Amino acid sequence: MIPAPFGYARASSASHAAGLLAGHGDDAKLLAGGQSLLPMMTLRLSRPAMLIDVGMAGLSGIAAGDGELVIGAATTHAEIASSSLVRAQAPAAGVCRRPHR
Amino acid sequence: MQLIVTVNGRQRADEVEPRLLLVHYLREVCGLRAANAGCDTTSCGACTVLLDGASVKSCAMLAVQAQGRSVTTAEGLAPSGELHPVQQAFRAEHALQCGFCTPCMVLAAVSLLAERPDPTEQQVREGLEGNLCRCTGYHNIVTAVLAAARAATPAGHTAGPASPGGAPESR
Repeated sequence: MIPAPFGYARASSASHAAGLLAGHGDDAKLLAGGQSLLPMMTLRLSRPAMLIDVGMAGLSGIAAGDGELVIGAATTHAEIASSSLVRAQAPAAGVCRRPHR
Repeated sequence: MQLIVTVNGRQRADEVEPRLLLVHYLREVCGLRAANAGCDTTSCGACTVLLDGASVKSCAMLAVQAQGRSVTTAEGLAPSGELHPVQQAFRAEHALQCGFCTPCMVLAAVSLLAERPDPTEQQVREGLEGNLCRCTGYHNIVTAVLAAARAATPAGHTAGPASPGGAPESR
């Protein structure tokens, strides 16, 4: 196990995450996908005491509204790149290359 | 904390520390050694597995992030013992040298072909760009992925698994 020990909480909603964040303050970091944070923790360049996982907090998804496109904060690049809604309504956002998720 | 996850079609329940990376869970707890821990920093892709069918780098993911989801390693591609079509194509096209990157290349290719069944050579190269072959054996890898795609599409070859010699000239 390479990262230093930390506490872990899985947020079930945005308000749950906000409550957890308020409770833990600067000791906590939000974990979305982890593609940036976890390598930093693996190298021990970052050692948060607490991770609040927002990956299952219902924050991902792409929806078209009235003249707008709503992309959830936890939506992955891959989901955006492969979204027909994005391609149709905001092609510039969809040109990011197919990344690993 | 308790982790419940489906690995290669079988549900498991294990007690794990939150800091356990998915690649180490698969290798050390599940005993599945196909995913390699190459660089630990998401650069090389040797740890690629499928998460709900899509490729992810398991060194940049905690095991607990896979809670309730389905993970497939290279061991899970051929449950009956018969090689997966992408594995067959890798063998037929000699798409490996030392083999370190092979499980991840195969899984990345499976994910790519699920998303884009009939890719161009350029799309294959871009689709595999997060996976490094330290032998630099990319040419045959790309050839194999294109062969697997042709074998799987209705317009492709129908005569048996491997279709050697079917690779397009690319350089």
